[in-house]
Amino acid sequence: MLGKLIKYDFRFGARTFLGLIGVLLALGAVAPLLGDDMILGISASVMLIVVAVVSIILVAQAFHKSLFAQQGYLTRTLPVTSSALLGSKLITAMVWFNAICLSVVLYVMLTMRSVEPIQSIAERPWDFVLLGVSLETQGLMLILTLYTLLTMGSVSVNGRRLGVVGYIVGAVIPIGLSALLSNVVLPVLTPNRYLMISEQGVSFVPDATGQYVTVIGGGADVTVTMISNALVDWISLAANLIVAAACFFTAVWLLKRKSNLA
Amino acid sequence: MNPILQVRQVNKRYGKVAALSGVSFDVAPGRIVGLLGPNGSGKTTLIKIICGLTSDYEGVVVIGDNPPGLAAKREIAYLPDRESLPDWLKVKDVLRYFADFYDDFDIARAAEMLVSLKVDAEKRVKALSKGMKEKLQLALVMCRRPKLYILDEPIAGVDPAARDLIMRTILQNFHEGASILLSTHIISDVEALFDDVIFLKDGEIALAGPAEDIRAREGKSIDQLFREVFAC
Repeated sequence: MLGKLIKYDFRFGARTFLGLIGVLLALGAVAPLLGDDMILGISASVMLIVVAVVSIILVAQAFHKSLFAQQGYLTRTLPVTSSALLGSKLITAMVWFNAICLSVVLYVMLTMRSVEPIQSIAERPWDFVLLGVSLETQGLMLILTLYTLLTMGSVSVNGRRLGVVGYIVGAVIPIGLSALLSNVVLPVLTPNRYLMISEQGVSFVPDATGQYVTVIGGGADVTVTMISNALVDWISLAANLIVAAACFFTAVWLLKRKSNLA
Repeated sequence: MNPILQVRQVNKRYGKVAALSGVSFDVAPGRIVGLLGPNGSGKTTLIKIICGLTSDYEGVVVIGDNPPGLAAKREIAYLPDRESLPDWLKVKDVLRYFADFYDDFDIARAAEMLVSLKVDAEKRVKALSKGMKEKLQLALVMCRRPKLYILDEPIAGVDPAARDLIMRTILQNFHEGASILLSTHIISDVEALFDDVIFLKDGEIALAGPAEDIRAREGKSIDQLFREVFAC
């Protein structure tokens, strides 16, 4: 049944997401005609923000329309489990997330009229694999946080739907859990990863020892940095996965036990 | 014979408002049951509980041998009181959608029924008129072979001619041995069909039993009785 759900979820999103990707690539193709590097840079930044916001809205809209609006009367009476319903939406959204990320890389290449991004990947493939894994976990967490907050909005307490309160609670819990895991729990479990060094500096490229250094706090003279042995931050990655799993099981449980259709 | 649907002491509140209070009844196999009551009497809330769309209620609901959930959904063909089909699909794709998810859906019969109901299979759902969408939803539900059909206000908001067509479609196509729970507040045109009736008033059962017994006992039609029970 999961495969069938995915088939229809893809068909639902195809026209919109393919349209968005088409517009992005078309704009990337004409962007260099603007000429001025500064205008080009600003327009590219604005475009990427717009694409990110529109993508999030589309993913949220597809989820809400299918499960909590009128169509929910059909979707939620299908003989499928709540985890299949959620899993189908998640898999579809992740595929579109990857397609959008790939289109953004193509957009940048078209705008720059350069294949530099591909050359960089070819030079350091493992780093980009890890970067990809990191992006996937961030996307997974973002989408599942969105699903959890939308599901929380349909939950009833004493017969009253939580609505906006549910959306806020549904957003705050995963974000708070993520912050707690990233900044307290996992660092305490791995204290050797944190150092104090006495000079300002931030670097996302490897230093002489091949390590990547990221500033996470500090003052004028002292900077607290986190050292990891790859571009990807394993602590954030672990935190993202834990939060994503927590969101998935919470949303499934709410859908099954607490969520009411208006 | 075991009832196909058992509802025991079901209570449901929306904040301080009681939508259902102590509702209990059975639906036996092969019976057509009218769930009667004015708007706001709790009919749709009760149906949503049976279909698993509302989960925070008190009491017990059993469909076949199962509580509302995955197994029960296979036993129920549900016609909601609103448009629920994916409006971006073509009508012929909606038939495939039902065939994909319901093993008991007869796609060939559904296609034939749509021809007789004059619903264009090549059109997208969003391009259909309200009446055509209702016919499509009805055809999809009636071409399944479940143990229980739950039809929520199938004749509300349609003209008398369409009402006749809808009722004819239901009677000619429902699976033999299955039961129908049909909610409505329009009694006169359909009361002859009911084997049993349940009057729901302010979330409570005001009257329930075999339609024929009630008519004989009260000396009036179900429609007349309905107007008395729910007189404003």
